[in-house]
Amino acid sequence: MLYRNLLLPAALLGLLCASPVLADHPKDMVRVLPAAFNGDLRPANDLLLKDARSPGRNQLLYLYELGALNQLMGQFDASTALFNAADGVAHEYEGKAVASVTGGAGQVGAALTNDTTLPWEGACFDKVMARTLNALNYLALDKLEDARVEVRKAEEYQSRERDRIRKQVGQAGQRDEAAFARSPVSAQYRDMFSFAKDVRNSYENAFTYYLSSHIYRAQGGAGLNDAMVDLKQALALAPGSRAIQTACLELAAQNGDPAALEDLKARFGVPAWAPADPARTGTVVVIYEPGFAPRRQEVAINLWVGGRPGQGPGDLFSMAFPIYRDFGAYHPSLQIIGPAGSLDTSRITDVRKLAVKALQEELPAILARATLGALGKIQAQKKAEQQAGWLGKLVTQVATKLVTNADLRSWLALPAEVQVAQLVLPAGPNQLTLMGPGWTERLPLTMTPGETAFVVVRAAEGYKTITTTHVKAAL
Amino acid sequence: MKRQLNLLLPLSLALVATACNTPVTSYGSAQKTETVNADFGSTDLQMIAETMVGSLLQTDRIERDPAEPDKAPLVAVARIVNNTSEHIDTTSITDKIRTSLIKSGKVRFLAMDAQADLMAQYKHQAVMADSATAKAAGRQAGAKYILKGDITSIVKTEGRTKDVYYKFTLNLVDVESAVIAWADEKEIRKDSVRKLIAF
Repeated sequence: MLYRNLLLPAALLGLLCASPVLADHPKDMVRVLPAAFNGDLRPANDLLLKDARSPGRNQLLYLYELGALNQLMGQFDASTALFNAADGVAHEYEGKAVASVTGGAGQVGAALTNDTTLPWEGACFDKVMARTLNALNYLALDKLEDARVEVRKAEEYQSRERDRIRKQVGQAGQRDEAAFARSPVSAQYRDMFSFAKDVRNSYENAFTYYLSSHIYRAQGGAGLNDAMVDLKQALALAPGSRAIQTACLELAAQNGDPAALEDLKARFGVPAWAPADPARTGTVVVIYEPGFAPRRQEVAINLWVGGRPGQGPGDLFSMAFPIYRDFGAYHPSLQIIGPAGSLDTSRITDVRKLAVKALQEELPAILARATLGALGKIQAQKKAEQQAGWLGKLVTQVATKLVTNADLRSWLALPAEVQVAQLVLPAGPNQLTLMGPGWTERLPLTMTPGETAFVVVRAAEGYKTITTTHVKAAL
Repeated sequence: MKRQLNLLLPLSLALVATACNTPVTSYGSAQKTETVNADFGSTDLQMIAETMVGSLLQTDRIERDPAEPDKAPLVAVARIVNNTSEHIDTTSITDKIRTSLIKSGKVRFLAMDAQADLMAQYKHQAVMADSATAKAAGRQAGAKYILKGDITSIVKTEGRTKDVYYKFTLNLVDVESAVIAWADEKEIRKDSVRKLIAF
């Protein structure tokens, strides 16, 4: 009889053993990142490749991690293949039925354990960044048209997310947000929300728009219009960026729109600005990606659940939530010394803030799921106590404690921020000196008239990689 | 007997599970309509090629080169620009169009995609081939027309529905005068609806 009564608590323990709730993506990634940044991808491949290749709850995340790490190593073909495979997985998730038996079973399992048992589907912000990094891959491979496909995909994700949020008015998502704002949980997130308060949303970032504007501009013709549209978006998100302002001025000059050019010159406070002669110069875009995206941490919050009016507050339950606490210091600029003088890169996208904002947007749904899960776990504990007394209660409490973990999975191999600078070099051989924290690199650059050279610097943990891609001018 | 029967069910289930796990492959018709999802697919490629070839064969605006009045005019295939948000192999579209037109005899094509190989041959033959039969650079036929175009798409998602509109445009341009001698377009719209309930 005792054995039969311990079935429920044993089942919970069994779920614990069967489900990978003890796997710890952030700690595992932190282990392999230093090796990756020293040019050794083997620990990362050993950790991630098997699950990246087979359908599973972490497949999409691991494909993104490996895609970013291969790009860091300069293995652009491999990185492209990984990001394209990730796109296929993301596409599959998007095409799933609204409600499915297997999906519903997964949700029940997650309610009884935690969200790490659910497939990681990534936020819109992750997908936009993946397409942006893949566009850089295609540029490095001299495939401008494929790079344009990637930035168009990024725009589609952003547009779809914008529409989805606009339609959320009065719907369940907004009700969840209101419930979250009223709950004691929101008080724990004050510092986190304050850190990202100047960010409009998680899925639009100035770097994606800035890069896509250059990619469209290289196409020429109708691409110039697309380039200007995207530059305006970039400017709205990072109005003080000299690189974006310079790009706007150059494009207005190229479009042959003197009124627009004068207006921009007045707006940016550069009345004497004049475009360089494209027959004798080329443009260099320096993209500096330092550090890593922040790691999520766990915060335990005690909440009353199951209370009804006139029947008391319910039961006190300890829930685990993901939170960002350690945002890391801002990275100093890269100094670029060229023939006409020096300039510094400036930050146009703070990936830390986007990650924080993405979590902020996700929190109402996390709270809703955690509350449902808490109700289920409390009922399981009560049932176990009825059936097997103190032993049943103890077993279920231990199992509950072990499985109630926050989902700390997030894309960690992303850079912490993106800084850019834009300068003009004369056609012919040139030399740039790049000075970063504790390092100096001399970069020879031979420019052909009218072309754009992208210099991408990825640096972290004392390691850096610099790649240069030349994109010829459109006819 | 009861023990044997008790083993039979799990064994049978295991056998069925194994069998269900083995992929089943068979040949299908290349012309069968493919609607796996709303992405650009084989049927779209075939529809585009069919429309373009049909239109080109019917037009009377393709003129012979005065330098070669007895021969079908020469065409060079330039790029088809991909302005969609999918990685579409536009070469496969132009290859299909080119193959059908070559078979019709209405036009001839220059092998623009073989230039690198041809250059390698010229270099090789200049050194290795008998001068009586060696082919040199500088004697390729000049194209009278170039074939160029683009494919664009507009994607809209609303709830469970995804609507994708493709427009493929092709132009035949006279090399000497830059006049567009012929143009046509093919529009395709595909809708896909996510299932409400599934297993």
